[in-house]
Amino acid sequence: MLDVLLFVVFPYVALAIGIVGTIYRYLTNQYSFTSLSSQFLESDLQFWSSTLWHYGILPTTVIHIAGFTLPKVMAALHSTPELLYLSELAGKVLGVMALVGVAIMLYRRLSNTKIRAVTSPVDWIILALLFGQVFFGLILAFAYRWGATWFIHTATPWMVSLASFQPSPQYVTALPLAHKVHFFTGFVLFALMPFSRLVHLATFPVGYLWRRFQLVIWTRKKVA
Amino acid sequence: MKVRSQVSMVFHLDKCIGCHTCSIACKNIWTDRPGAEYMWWNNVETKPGVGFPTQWEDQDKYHGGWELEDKPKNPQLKLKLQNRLQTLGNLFSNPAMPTMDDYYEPWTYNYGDLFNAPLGEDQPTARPISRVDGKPIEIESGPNWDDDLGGSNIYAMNDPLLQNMSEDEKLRLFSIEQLFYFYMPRICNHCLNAACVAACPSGAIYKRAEDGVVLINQDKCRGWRMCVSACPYKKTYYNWSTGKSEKCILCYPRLETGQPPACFHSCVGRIRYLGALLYDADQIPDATRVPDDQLVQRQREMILNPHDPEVIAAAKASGVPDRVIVAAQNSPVYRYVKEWELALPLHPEYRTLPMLFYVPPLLPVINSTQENGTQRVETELFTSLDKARMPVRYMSLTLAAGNDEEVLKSYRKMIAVRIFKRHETVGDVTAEEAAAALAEANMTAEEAEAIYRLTSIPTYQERFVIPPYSREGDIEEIYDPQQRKAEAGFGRQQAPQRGL
Amino acid sequence: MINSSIQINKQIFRLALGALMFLVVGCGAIPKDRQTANPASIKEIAEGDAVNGQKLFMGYAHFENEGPPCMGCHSVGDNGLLGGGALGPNLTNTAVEKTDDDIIGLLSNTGIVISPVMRPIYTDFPLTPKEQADLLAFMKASVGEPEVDKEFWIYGISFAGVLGAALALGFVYRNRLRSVRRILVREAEKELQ
Repeated sequence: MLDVLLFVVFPYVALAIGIVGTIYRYLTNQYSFTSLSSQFLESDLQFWSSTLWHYGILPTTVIHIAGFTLPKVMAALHSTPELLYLSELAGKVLGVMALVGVAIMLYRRLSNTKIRAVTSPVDWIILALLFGQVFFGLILAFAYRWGATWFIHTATPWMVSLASFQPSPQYVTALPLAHKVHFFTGFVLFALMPFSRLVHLATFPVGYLWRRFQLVIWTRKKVA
Repeated sequence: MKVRSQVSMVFHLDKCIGCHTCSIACKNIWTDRPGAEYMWWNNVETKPGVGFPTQWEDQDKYHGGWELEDKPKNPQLKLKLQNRLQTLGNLFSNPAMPTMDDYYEPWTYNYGDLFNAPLGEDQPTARPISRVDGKPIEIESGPNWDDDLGGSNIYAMNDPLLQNMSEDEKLRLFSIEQLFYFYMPRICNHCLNAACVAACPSGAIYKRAEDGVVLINQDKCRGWRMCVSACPYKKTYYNWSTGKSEKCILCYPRLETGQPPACFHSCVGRIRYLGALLYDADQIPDATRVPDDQLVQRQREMILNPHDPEVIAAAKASGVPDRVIVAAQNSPVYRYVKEWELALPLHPEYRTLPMLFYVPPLLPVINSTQENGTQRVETELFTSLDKARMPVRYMSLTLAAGNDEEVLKSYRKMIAVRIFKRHETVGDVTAEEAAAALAEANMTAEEAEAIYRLTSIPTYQERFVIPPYSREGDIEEIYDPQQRKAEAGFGRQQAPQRGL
Repeated sequence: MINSSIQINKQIFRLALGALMFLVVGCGAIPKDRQTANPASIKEIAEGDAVNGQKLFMGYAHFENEGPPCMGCHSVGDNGLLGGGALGPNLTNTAVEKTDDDIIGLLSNTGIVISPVMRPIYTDFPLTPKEQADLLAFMKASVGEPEVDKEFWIYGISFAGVLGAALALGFVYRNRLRSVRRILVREAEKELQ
């Protein structure tokens, strides 16, 4: 029963809150969509925390999503033990980078009074959850090897079953507690997105790669 | 020919007395808010000096503005900061982001302590406290820390523009009888080829087509802070409280109601002029890709003569309203920049095509050539101009990308006007001397008189020729007033608050 | 304002498109035809090939129905450069701890002993009787082999990698803007003294 609640009902609720909430916030209060960077107040630690974190967590997230959506491709990427070791080690490096980054972030916010002044309660919650999420993710990666293989045969079918509205929690209910915590926190973070600064994720400016440099806007487009 | 209109500005530096009234007017209206206390959309710097933020002119450090590719054939313009792909990689930690330390940490005083201190032996004091975290701070710097050459061995000596001068020259520059300084008020230049617009990853910064004011859409800004780094003038600021960037808006709500911006209106020395310029937008790419010494001349070329029938026809075809063309014809900026070629853009070598122009100050040039404190100057001024090598060099590095001739041309005219008027009013200069001076500067008596009038005794209406706006009309054409009649008309319904 | 509402519609469209793609690609990953597994017979067990079993275990040879190799979760003796997985139990001595029937039952999801983690996986991607027999033969052959712990290397290489990545970032961004004013004032004051 608890399993159904945690791995069927909650994911749907979390996804709904995350997606609907983010869209609602975008429609009603686009002004609040910002990264709320504090680099202006402190730049030295910010460099190490933010670059390590983002360069660690973004590829990790992409790899997770690829595991859900392109399991065949991901399976092909570790079809022999040697390839598996290579991709596993790369993933572990990324994960530890993210953990070090988020740890420095926590330290920076705790130690610098100026940064503390621009930290809201939800920032603390998010930061703690992110730390926990990466920490548990690394427990899975190190203590329950080799995730690259079992991921696409446990988490992937579960996520696919959710996405196709035929929920099959049995893929994950038998996994150790650390896995369950990692899954649960992941969805909690998704649900918290519209209530936190995490919305800046949704505004990653890919369009900059091809937009024209100068923007000129007419109040009213003149009839030529 | 694509004709557009730009509300542009001229600051006459000879008239600036460095009173900072403009800065205060701006601060009171726009930046007296949490997160914006440290911003000075308008500030006045003492030059030589490091400016605000510290050494903003040193683009080796700040990486602002554009640079021309280093190749002989068809070099392209690129942001000095980064290319497009690097932009995405640098979002997480901007490698060229100045920190609050390079501006200053805003503070207030613990005034309550003066009233609430318990009875004691000592006078109670109001300690300075940070306006960021409320903790007591040691004040290390402020918005005008080196005002009037204060601490000049630290600040003025480290002016980035003096880097090219030898130690000996620097020392001479700061020796007692040679010493010169002047004030330089700075606001956003509302550039035609703005680096902040180009660098914004979210595309939140834009130029208004009608009047050329460069604005940041606060709804679209995501706080990636690239504009702060890309602007070579460091005139976009990051609001650490709201997580958005902000900049001078040229008081567009005032412009739209026919009033000059607050800093212009309040200027005590009446140094500021504002008016429309018509320019050819098609020439922007070419004008930004000429060698440094031609930049000023090329920028002048793209500004069009609003009296030329051809230009008027093209302007109409490009959708410039008649009322704006009339305003451009009466524009004091057009006269200073194009007709008289007196006013020069600030640091054209950043290649952003700034639309705020400065008339270089004459005082340092004259002052630096005085000897023994005697002042029998007027007719000797031209020879003194040759002697004032260092101040002229400094001005040309500031206003003409190092092209001394542009600055000298401007100076010759200003000196000729002086000699001409001295002949008229004081009479100790002969008519021949006056005529010779005018000939030297290559100008007519009428032009000299016109320069004198607009410089010394202009009326409010002559200084500020604001093209009439019809924002209500424009807006009505977007919204049917009948359909919208029951709605409140004040735009944003909630105060802009920091995101969650 | 009209512009911004168009912008919003565009954004929603993009979001919806993303969600749709997620669903489509995700649905495609569901195995369509599910076969039921048959346990290996006594004859097949007797013919089990330990060498092929090791290949299957390690993933050098792939299961016919595309099931994941065992070493993703299990270790047997000293396998490979960095060893086998650690999600499931170490199987070095499992052939003496469990009966053949139990092991075949586990592998084919038909026995009394069932792994709740493996069951859904090898229901989707069942092992053929031959594969079950080969694996069993491999497990029998590996009984008593020394277990080698390679965690040290995994941790070591990972942390060295992070250090390397940090150094690389530090190098790429070595010219990043640090304090301007503080340095200026400090240097100038030093010179004046």
